[in-house]
Amino acid sequence: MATEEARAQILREVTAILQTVVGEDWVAEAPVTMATTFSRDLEVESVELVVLFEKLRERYGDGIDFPEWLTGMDTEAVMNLAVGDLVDFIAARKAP
Amino acid sequence: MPIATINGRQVHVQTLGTAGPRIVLVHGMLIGSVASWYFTVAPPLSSGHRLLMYDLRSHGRSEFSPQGYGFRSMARDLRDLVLDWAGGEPVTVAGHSYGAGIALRFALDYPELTHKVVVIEATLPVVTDEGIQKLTRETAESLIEMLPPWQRQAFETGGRRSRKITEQFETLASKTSMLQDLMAEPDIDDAELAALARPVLLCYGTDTVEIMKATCQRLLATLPDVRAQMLESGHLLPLEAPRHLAQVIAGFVEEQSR
Repeated sequence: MATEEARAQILREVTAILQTVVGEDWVAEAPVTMATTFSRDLEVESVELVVLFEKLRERYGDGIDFPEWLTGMDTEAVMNLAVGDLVDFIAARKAP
Repeated sequence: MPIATINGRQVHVQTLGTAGPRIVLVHGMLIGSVASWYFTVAPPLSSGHRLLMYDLRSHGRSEFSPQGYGFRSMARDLRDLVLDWAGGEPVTVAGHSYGAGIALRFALDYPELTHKVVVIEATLPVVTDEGIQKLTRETAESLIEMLPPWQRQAFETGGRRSRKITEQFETLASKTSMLQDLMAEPDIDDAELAALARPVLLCYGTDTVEIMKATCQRLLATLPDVRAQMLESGHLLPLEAPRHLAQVIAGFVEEQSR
């Protein structure tokens, strides 16, 4: 079980990587939290989410099996994902 | 971000799956991108298949191109990507809507690189007079109306996502030859279709529009090795029936050739 500190670290990394993907068009004024949603709050395009996932797999290794995770989700759930859902998934799967 | 350089232009590609038959997925025009597959059909299909997805010219994160939107040109892009990815080994090509036209053209022009073809909601002729009038009148908003309600909401905020989709639409419609290329696109001869010696699966939505249904009937009557599967959906099958579509494609790819 990942500690709160480990989760906070992943949240910072996910946010930083997402910012590089979105670039200067970043819309969030408030800090990104576990409850922030990708589409409603951050207005991230679905193609940017693809690039984010790919960069996260590079960062955390192949143990982060996004296809398997996404298979268990319907498309509507993917569009409503919160940053925290992704952080929890990475925390549970990433190599110690 | 993985980038392939095809004909001197940068193409955003994504792969999923580590083993099994190779399938290339080709998205539709204007609002399509790799994400049309990545969050829908690709996750279940990537178990047991190697998938290649790419953003078409001027779509998603691929480089802008002022011209080259006719099917022969788009099929050449696909050929170069397939050669790069599979090194000459035949692959299954699956496309949706405009992407289905590209997949079909690819199979006709490059049968040696084609294993099987999945045509999802294609129209023939590609553009009818009525269709092009609708398309030139079409605004990003009316395209968005075709989306399932939960996806449509994301574009109705007036925020960044709706702005981006409008920009993509306007760029394609006014700064590229896409509409002209589509208007100039010839219909495919029945004789050419009848000579396609590759297995073809047609996937159409039960609630799709008439021109799609008519195309399905025509392809069923002309292609020599063809089967059709109707799925409960409208035109946007990958979004509306992703799991069923993945299952049907997997079954077709694994089916022994007749």
